[in-house]
Amino acid sequence: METKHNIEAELQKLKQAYKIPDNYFDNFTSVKPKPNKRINIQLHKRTWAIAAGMLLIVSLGYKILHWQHAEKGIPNIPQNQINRSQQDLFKDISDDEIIDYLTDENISEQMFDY
Amino acid sequence: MAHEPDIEQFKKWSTEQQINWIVEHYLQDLYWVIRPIVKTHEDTDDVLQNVLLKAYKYLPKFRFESKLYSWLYRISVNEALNYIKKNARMKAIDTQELLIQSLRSDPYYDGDEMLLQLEQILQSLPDKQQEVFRLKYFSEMTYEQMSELLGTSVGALKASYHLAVKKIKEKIA
Repeated sequence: METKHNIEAELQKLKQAYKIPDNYFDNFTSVKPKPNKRINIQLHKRTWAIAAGMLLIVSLGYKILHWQHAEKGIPNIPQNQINRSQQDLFKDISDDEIIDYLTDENISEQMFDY
Repeated sequence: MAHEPDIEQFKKWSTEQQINWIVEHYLQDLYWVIRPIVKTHEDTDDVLQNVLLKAYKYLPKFRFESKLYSWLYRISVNEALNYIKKNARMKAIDTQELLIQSLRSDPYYDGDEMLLQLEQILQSLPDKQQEVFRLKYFSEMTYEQMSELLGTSVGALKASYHLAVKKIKEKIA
């Protein structure tokens, strides 16, 4: 059984087992404490993770919306593109030709096929 | 344990000057407060930086109602304990296990199996008893100095110490 004296002797060795790099205290620079890079990286990691999560949610939401529109057969084209395509359709055609065009039963379906 | 600064003079300095004084006079003492808690040199260096950052941030608000070293000691212990709890949580292991693993793999630890066993036993002691051991064997304080720092009587500290040694003897036997 260990005597108290032996335990004391072992306890005295505790600190001796902990080594420090040479000149650590002499070279320690903290005139103005520098931010701990590990903390900052962790903060950035968290910020990036939140941003990535939000982006994922938004893109998933957009995908779901797009999928719903496709399911219903509704063309997912922004309004300004629809307007532009209508303008392009009639760009080089005279007024008389437009009227003929609109009444042409063979073409009427194509006009609405995006 | 390092001496306290001239408070009136200290209060007149800029925060940077105050931190410089702290680094010059208390760096080693604070290192040996933190190291026996977090065990490895690398982690001690990290925690020491955190302590100095906190000191830099809160020194302008420090009212000197307690001694400067007591305040820094408390910050150091709290930062060190939070650091190991956070690491243990991240690695999903027990803090005791984490600390012993850290020691085994630390290039700046030179202890044999007997000392590792002693470290493990010390980790299992109640917090107050661990604190007495750290102050006695790492900060090399007298009971009187410990009493002043912790606000506990010398008698209570000695009793705490002797109870702890008794537990260690039982576990080693």
